[in-house]
Amino acid sequence: MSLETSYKTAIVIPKTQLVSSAANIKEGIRPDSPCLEILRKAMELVVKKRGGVFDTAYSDNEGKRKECFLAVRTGDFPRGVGIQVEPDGRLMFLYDAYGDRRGVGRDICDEITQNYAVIAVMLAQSKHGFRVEVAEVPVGKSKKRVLVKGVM
Amino acid sequence: MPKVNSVIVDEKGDLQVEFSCYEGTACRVEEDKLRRALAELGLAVQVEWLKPKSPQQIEAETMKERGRADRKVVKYER
Repeated sequence: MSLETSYKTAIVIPKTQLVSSAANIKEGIRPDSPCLEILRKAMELVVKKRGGVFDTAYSDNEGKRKECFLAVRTGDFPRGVGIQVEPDGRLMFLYDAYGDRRGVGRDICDEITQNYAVIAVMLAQSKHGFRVEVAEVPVGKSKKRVLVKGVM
Repeated sequence: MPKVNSVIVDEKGDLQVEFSCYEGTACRVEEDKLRRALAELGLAVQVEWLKPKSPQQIEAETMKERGRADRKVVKYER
């Protein structure tokens, strides 16, 4: 038998990988957490693609720093996009969208989420003994879909 | 035939998954395993829909695979 399925996704750090359930804590994830590793890689890909840096704060439209768990600032969105871990492990993106007519902030959030999903699927498949192949399919000017194929 | 899991990750990070070439209900087990593994890695998934492939789809894929295998044999004989 063969099966087709569609999943809606959300990034949620499992409780076993959270160091505390306190809200808005800076070091919300265990340093050896596989989820933290994936998150860093997902953000690093965005930094490399767009040119930018890691930070621990994003800025609002008045230039005020807003501390968060982790943030990326890119050339095309220097205010940056921050990440916060909620007490239930859910990941939240934070940025000031004022004046962001092209929706760059939204695009950065989507790219981080997509990269995270691709890396997680690759790891999950290889953990179960599948040989993994990855191919990118461009969608429009700057977006893409990614095919992750596991063969065993 | 090898088992194949094809996952398309869209622009928002949502997934479309196709489990192919499984015997019996083994693909259901694989689907559950994949969801659990993703949750451990911080990717919580909510099933939007799930459907078995139609016999026509499976037959078409099988023919395609047979075609490939036949071509390989011909090449080998030469």
